[in-house]
Amino acid sequence: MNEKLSFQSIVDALARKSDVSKKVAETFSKTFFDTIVEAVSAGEIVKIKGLGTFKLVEVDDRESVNVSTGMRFVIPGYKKVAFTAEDHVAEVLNPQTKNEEDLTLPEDAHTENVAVEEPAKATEPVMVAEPVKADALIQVEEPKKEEDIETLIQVPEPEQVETPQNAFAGIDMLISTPESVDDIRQQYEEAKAKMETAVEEARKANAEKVRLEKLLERLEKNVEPEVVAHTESTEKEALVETAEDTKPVSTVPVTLVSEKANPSVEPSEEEKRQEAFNRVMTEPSHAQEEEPQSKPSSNKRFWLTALIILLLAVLGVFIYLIHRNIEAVEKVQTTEQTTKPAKTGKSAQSAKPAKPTAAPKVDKDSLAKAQKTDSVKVASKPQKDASKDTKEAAKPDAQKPDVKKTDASKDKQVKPDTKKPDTKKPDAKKQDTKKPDAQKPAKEERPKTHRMQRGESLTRISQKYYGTKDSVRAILRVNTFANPDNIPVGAVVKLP
Amino acid sequence: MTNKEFLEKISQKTRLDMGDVKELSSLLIGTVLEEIADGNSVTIQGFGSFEPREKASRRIYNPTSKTYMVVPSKTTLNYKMSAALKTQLNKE
Repeated sequence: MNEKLSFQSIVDALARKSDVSKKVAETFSKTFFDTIVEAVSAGEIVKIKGLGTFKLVEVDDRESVNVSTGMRFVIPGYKKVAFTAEDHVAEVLNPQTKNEEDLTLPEDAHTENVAVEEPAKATEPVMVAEPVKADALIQVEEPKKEEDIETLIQVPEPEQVETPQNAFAGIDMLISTPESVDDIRQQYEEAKAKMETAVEEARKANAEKVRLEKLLERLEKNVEPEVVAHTESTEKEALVETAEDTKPVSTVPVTLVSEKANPSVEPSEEEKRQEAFNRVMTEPSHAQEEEPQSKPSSNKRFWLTALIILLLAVLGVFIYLIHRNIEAVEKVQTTEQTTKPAKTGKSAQSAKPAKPTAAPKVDKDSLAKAQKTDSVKVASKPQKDASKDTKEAAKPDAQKPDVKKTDASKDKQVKPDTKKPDTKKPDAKKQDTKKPDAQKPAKEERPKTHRMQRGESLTRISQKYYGTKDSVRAILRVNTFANPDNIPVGAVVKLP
Repeated sequence: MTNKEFLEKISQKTRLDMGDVKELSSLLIGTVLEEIADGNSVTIQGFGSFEPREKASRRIYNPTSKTYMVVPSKTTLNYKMSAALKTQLNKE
């Protein structure tokens, strides 16, 4: 082992093995190697069976640095004999491994696979579990409900192509046959004007409702015997809201749902609608011009919504008046304030879950009418927000930010929708929808953190939140990663 | 230059017939490889040296199947030309 054998010892060995003399063996060996050198020097490639290939290779000039002086200098290029061993050589040199290879390699590979894949598997459930968790959270918060639906929708994607048509057909059936283009246009203008007034009214009604609900809460706190009645009234209000927000088409199912206070009852129906809504949102111009039948129908819908909102306004005033009276009565009984804050919370909550179903529905329906109805939807949505806000915080000033929000939410609504076709991941979608819903007060703001998913990179995150890959550096500035090229799944990345 | 041409050339030079050259050639290569396999290095003056090189086992990643595999350690034959040959090749 590790001996340095000379040419002579090889020749001796060769002579011993063969029946030739040492002399012949030596001449042969000498000629053998000389011939190689000759041929290689001539630029030939020499292939020797059982050994390998010799060939001449030119090495380029290269620059180096004198270690002691630091001076740069050039190592001149030269020619050298390169040797590539035959496969046979490897077999000879690795006899045991050659035999074991077949046995050990797959075995090793297998154990390795298991060892390596196990952590991967462990992380995968996390990925799956995350959206679920998010859903659970979503059910608590009202507007996020939309996400739920979207995540659901993601799964049956191929269906998307068919369902919108069905949805349109349904709308068409509900509403009368197409009219002439001029008529439609006229109607549209009228509807638009009406819509604007309706929106104004809705806002007013909204403000009133805020006040009403505040009163309601006070009532519930104060009057013990009346608590039951009032919770009922809150529920009623929820019903009213849903009825108002959802068009006559969807009123019945929604009220049912709200009575049950169970938002997840009719996901399939909602899915379809949502799909239709997505579809329309992605190509709103098409919806307007491509399908003339949908135009009159949407006009009709404008009227309907306008009417409903008007009705709501009247209702709101009505309820407001009633409760004013009640308040007057109950001011006498203000001493009992201590007892029922908990119940109020409950009733508020019971009323709340009814709305989530309504919220996406409204969006869908109105959006199905193509952006024209945006203003309506926007108007009706903030109302819910307002009611929610007041229920939770009971602040009278909640209406003020609301009016502003109408614009904000409008913007937001457009934003996630345009993004939808790009993002295939449900998670990515969730992020998108979270933006408008969860961050209503801070309008247009992106999430402050991002949880890394499998396969995501900072570049991708940058692209997603900032629209450019160049923001990676900005992200790196506010984060400290052990290795920015390998961020573990589930790591929370701060977004500047 | 193929193996056959190479052997013919040796045959001409040594005036041995092809059969002997073939036999001797394979025996010579066998001897060298034997020694290499034993872990010895073989130096041939004016030509160069053959020596075994240990290659450590390493883990490789198959991006297609996304699995890791182990490439076992192995020995390879390394050739380094002699300094004399180098000067001879580069004297021009």
